[in-house]
Amino acid sequence: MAGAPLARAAFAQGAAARKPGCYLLQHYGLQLGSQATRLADYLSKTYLPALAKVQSVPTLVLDAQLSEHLPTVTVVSAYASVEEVWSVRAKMNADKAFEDATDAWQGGAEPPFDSLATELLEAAEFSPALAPLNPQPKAPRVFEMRIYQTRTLKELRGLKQRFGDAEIKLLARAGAQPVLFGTTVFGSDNPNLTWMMAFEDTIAREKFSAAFAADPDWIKLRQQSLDRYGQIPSFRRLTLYRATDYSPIR
Amino acid sequence: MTRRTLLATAGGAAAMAAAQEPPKGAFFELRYFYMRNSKSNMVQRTTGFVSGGYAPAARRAGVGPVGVFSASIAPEAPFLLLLSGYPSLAAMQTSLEKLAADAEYQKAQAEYNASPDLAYVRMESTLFRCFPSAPAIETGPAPEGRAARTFELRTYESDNEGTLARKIKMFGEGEVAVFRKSGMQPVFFGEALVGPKLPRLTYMLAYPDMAGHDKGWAAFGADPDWQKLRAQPGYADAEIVSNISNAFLRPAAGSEIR
Repeated sequence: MAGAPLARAAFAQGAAARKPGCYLLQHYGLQLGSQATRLADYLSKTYLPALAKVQSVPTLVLDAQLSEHLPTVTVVSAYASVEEVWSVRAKMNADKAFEDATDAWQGGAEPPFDSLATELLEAAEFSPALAPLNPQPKAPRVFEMRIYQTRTLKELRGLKQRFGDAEIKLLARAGAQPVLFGTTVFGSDNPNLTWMMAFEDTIAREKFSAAFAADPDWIKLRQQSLDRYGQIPSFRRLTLYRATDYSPIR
Repeated sequence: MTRRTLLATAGGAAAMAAAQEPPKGAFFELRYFYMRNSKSNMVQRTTGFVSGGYAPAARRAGVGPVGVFSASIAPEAPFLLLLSGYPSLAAMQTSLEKLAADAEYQKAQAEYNASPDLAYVRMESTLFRCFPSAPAIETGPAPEGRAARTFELRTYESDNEGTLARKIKMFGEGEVAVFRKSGMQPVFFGEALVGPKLPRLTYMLAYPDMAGHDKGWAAFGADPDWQKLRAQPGYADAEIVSNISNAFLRPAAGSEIR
């Protein structure tokens, strides 16, 4: 399967890269029209360079393909720690040129966006390092984000254990590229496991889906988890994205 | 025979012919059964009732086509989506009366409702009228000897009823034709009459598979007719569509649309 070697490459990269401590997610809800172009211009020419100047923070910029609201652009950054989120933010905000460019983006005739929702996730111990593929994929990959909401912290622990012990390996074996696993610390829908995987394209995703569902090891693991913790994902939300052309990780 | 009676007779014959054709669903209801993965097999019980109890009874009652879909890739899952088509609102009333009088259906419904466990979290229903430019639900090529298709459901909300009407007009003036030309298979185009989040429209396209989806949209985006249509004054997305949402669906047992 095409995805499997890519998944291994992602793991190999991850071993050398730094371990993520937390993820900052910024979801921009946009109106159709000029907002998407203006945001792309701001993120690619102002925000990402300003972030890179302060600290090398692995970042994904994603354009939603399947969502409750389109267009949506989500920026995912992997920080080493919460302290790093604050120190990087403080340094960026102290930069007058950054402030001016941000004002220029926000000061257009139309508002810059409809809504902005931010979340801070604590990285799961088994969450891989966020790093570009080597070599870079030919086309921006497809990313799938899922939120599994649990009712109790015990269920959440069970879910994390299931992923960390075995499911992450089974996902990779079936052709998915694991990207991040975290729990929302500041944000909505708590407690939850928020996780993301990548695929070469939607066709690779379809192949993965069939291979994973038929994997006897997954069927066994799922049953063990059901027996031990009960039916865990009582609710789920899913968004399908494609990386933008200017995303540092594509 | 006078000209007047000739016309009346011809009209009457046409009406009779139309009555004998299978119902095409000029109006339709989309009903969501929102569920959760549960130990009490909510999904299996609801699918069993809708596919095995409702769908055959609805066909007996003159409803058509009947579509049953589950989420393949969707923002919120699990759910079951039921499509019931009616040739007219009067026919809908007749069908509902027949269902209420159908002993077999009433038994199936009573059994489904008798479980002490929840069968679904909530239902959500919307009544639609097919666009004048695409007046019937299309069940697509004969399902025998081919794999089930991949379905995409797309909803466009508009700021007001005027901009919605303009978007519906735009579909008729070429957007639907470009879908067909691009290898996408339209199932229905509906204006929501009664339901949440009005004003809005919802339409469904089918593809042989996910690769067909990608290919279809690429061809659609590059089509010169589409480029010309969207460049017309008043037809820019930003002027007529305020929100888009979408989901991929697969047909479930009992669906006449596969």
